[in-house]
Amino acid sequence: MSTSRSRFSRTNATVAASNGAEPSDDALRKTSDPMADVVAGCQRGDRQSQRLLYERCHRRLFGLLVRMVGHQDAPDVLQHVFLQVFMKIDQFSGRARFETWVYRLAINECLQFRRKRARAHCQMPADEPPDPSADHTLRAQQQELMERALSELTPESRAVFVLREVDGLSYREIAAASEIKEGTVGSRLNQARTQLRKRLVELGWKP
Amino acid sequence: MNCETAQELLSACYDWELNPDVDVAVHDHAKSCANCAQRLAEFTELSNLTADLRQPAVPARMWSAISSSLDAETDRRPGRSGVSGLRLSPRAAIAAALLVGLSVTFLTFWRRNASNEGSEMVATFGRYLSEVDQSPQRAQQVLLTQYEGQLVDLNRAASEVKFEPNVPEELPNGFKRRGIYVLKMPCCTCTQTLYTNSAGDTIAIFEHADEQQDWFGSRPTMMAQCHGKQTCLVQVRDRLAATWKCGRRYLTVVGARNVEQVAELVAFLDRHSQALASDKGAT
Repeated sequence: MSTSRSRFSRTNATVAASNGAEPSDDALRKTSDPMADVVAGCQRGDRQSQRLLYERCHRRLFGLLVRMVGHQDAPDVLQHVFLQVFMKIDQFSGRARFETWVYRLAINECLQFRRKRARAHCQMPADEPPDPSADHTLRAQQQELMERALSELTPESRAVFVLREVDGLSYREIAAASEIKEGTVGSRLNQARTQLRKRLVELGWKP
Repeated sequence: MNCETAQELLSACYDWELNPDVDVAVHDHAKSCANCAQRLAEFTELSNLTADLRQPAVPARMWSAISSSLDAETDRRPGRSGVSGLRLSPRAAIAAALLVGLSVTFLTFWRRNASNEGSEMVATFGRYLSEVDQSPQRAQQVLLTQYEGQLVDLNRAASEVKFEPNVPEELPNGFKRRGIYVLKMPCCTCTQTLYTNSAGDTIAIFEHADEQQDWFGSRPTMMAQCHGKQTCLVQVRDRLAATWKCGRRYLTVVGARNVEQVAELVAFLDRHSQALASDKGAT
């Protein structure tokens, strides 16, 4: 049995870039200087800087939020997350990367949102209504199965999985964003990966 | 390395997060363990599926909605824009206070007081407040000139104002007392104590007989309950001033950075006042 590993998590951004998504995100992760200027501008209340920060962060954040709270509520939560970012940006100490700080705000907002919904005795939809015009190709079906299996993970495991596999954060960044230990990141990922695969097979996915 | 240990480290190994020697040990184990090798292969399958997930599209008007919300926050405080205004909006202040577990309750939103802008005290304090952020020394000179201010020691201060001033030697966050002044203001003779910290920030604390919200003219004010004390907060450029009743007199702080600092000072000075009263009772 081959034990070779492909670094899919690291190449995710490359694949995304070749598909026309924001190629600058990966570069931004490596260089903090451009974000530092934007953050400083936001701390001065400059609207242009705020817009720039939004442009640089909103797509990846939205992807996380959709998987954490569902398509219907993700736009509201995203709006609230950015308001929190701009209201609290003077609290950003600069010790961690700025995106890690933003992710932490986003995850906390998602978990709070879910708790409020639970207190209001609302069910978090595990499944969203199927789109009648949806693509029924094998690829689309696999995407749907994966999204469904993801939605059935606990919020904490789901966040860690998305941050790692979709957004390519390191364990240290995930730990900072999720406010857990780095060791816990590894064990949650172990659990998430095992549960995901098991559920995918139950849903009819054929490896 | 045994299988149980290797299994716990599989994700970290797969994600290249292990130290090189541990990574080699897990890798070597997987070469001879079908179960662990199978799991690593399954991780790769999941990564392939994940890479294929669609990036959800953000609604087109999202930035416009956020921008409108930012404008709404800024509009609460006329003449201000940007994030420092947001910091003092009720919702942000409440969120900040709750985050640090302070017992702060906001009673009103920002409002302008109807005030006699023409009064001398409003004018003098207006000049003081306009300078205090950029040049505390120049600001101080405004008050000293207008109100025959004198730098005194603690005993002389007590003798001038006929009470023992609430002037601890230190405040939270490294502020140290630099000087006590007595000011002969139209409303009363009061003490003003200046504190500075190593960052060069200055806090002034006035102790006076009556509530003096008029000092601040028609600047927007907000009422809050800080540690059980009704506190009037006033925006002064990028800082806050706050007035509350402490014992039988009122304290006014000028130069607080935010609501959390105000709440900290209210609690600290209240405890100091009680300690002074207790010491006096004991003697």
